[in-house]
Amino acid sequence: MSLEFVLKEVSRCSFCGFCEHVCPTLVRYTRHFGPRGRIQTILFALKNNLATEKSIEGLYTCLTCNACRIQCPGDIKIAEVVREFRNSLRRGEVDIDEKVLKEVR
Amino acid sequence: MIPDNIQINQYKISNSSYFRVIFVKNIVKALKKIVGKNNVLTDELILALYSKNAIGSSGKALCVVFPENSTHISEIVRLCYKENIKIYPQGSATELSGSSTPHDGIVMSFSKMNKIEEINIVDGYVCVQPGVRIHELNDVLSEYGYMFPVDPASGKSATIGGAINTGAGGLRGARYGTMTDWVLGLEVVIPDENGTLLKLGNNTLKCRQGYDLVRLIVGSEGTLAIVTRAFLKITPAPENIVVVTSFFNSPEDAMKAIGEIKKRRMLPAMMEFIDEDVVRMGKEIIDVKTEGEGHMLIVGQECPPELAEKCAEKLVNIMKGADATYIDFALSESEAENKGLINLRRAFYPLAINLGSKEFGESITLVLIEDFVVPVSKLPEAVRIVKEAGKKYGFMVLTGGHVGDGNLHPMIWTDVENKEMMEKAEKFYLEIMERIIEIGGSISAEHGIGEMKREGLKLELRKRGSEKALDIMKQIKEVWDPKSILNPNKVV
Ligand SMILES: Cc1cc2nc3c(=O)[nH]c(=O)nc-3n(C[C@H](O)[C@H](O)[C@H](O)COP(=O)(O)OP(=O)(O)OC[C@H]3O[C@@H](n4cnc5c(N)ncnc54)[C@H](O)[C@@H]3O)c2cc1C
Ligand code: SF4
Ligand code: SF4
Repeated sequence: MSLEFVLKEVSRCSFCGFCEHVCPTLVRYTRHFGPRGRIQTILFALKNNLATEKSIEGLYTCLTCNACRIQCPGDIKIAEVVREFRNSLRRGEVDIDEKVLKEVR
Repeated sequence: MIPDNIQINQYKISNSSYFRVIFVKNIVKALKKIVGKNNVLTDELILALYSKNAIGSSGKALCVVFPENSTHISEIVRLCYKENIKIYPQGSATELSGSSTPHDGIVMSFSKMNKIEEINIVDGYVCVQPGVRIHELNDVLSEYGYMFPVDPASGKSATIGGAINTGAGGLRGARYGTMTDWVLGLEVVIPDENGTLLKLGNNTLKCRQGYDLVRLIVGSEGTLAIVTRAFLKITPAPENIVVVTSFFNSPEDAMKAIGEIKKRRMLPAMMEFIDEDVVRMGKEIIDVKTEGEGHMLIVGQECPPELAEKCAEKLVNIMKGADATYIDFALSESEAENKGLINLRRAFYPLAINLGSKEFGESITLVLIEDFVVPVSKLPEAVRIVKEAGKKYGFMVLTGGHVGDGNLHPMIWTDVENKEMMEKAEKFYLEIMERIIEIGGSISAEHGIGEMKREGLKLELRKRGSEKALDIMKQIKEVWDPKSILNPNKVV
């Protein structure tokens, strides 16, 4: 798996939000704690170079439980994508501000 | 209370970034005093996540605020009225017309106002906060054998506040209508200097309260008032549903079947159509066992279990009479699920995402779903119009829709990063809007006008010789929102 895989998956996200209602970490929180937010967070990081501490917070609170996957009309492998992106961050393959990354390292 | 000691206005005179930063800081400070510090977010990523919608429009927000009750909302409105700050109400941002996109104002999210406050079976209503999702409401109602029948395909994410404001419809529209038919009363905050809370309509099943302001708010796309609570009518869930799927050589044959169903005085809860391309390509991406080919019609008729066989037989005969080439049926919903009778219809949207992704790879794929309504008898013509226009502009168009009420959703996919293609898509939609109006249709059945269809609305009213209606709409907007701070530049 690679960042290429991640990018291909997240580019399919249509922002429909069908995945959110099953996510155990979204309950009463904001969008970045849910699957739609996480997929979009990765998209923003890769396409717009936008990453903040909240990006990291959202991605690292994903339980990779896979509850969301079956809901997704684009069949995006959400948990796998999150896991792979986190690994890429750790391997330093993504160009993200050092300040934001410090908690990951 | 709004903190009067906070001086915001003085910073607005200058547009320079220094003064702007201070201006925003002060707004945020004032908002935090109202709703608490955890309920106002300014992180750049969060702002980006709350500035998008399901058609890829992206706007710009100063902050996102999460009110927890109508008092919070009223106070926020007072602050914004005083300081001329724009407010953009937002449910799940699944709208498809650009109606929720923020432009330099605060996004008001209702995700913390998501309680079902009352279920009253005897009086026939529920009282809900705006952030409740439609599926959640139906899950709870199913315990009582009841349902809220407006079921947009996005019901898993769509909120009541969003559905009211778009005037949403759904698969059961032919029998149960749209949101307009199911809202009894609303509590709203209007954008005036006091953030006045109004109770419109009632929780009773009938109410003639002068001009019908409830139905003015339904479909107003968050431009007139903020919905803080809704009283919705509910209805018993059907005991049983017979499902018949049939395939036809032409949309005209499918139309013959719909016509015959109506003549035979049947009123199915569901009449869904998908065209032959969706059927052919849908079979490639999902596991369906049907041998049917061509255009597909799915009919779901409510009927007690003891009459199910008779009902299915009647429908099958109608389909045969309309020259269906292949027919399958189920005597109950669970049998229909087991047989996968509805799976091809469900594949409509995933198919477009799938095909788009295959075509555009790592570019961001955008699926554009349109929303016309035509007289039911004109459906075959409408299908032909969109397919022909698709060929002209180089798009593969998939069509499907809630045809029992004449609602068709032509769908294409584009590459957001390809400007030329996006412009072509716009031209394609403008052309079909014009043609649809010409055959007696309307440009939006349930998704609304937002930003994307303002030209279309003008066109439709002009073609009907009713431009004055647009002036009246603008005046209505001014009366409700004199400073134009609530979701401005949408609809009119
Ligand atoms: C895959 C897909 C399928 C869809 N299928 C259907 C369908 O079958 N039928 C249909 O009708 N629609 C459909 N839609 C469109 C959309 O899902 C619906 O219009 C839905 O009702 C919007 O709800 P929301 O919570 O996402 O609202 P949002 O998109 O957040 O908001 C919609 C509008 O309501 C306003 N608003 C939201 N809450 C409030 C409030 N409390 N007070 C005032 N204004 C408010 C917003 O400002 C905006 O103008 C579909 C969308 C997708 C992505
Ligand atoms: S895998 Fe992550 S995003 Fe998906 S439901 Fe589980 S916690 Fe939520
Ligand atoms: S369900 Fe899939 S396509 Fe829809 S928002 Fe979630 S990840 Fe994106």
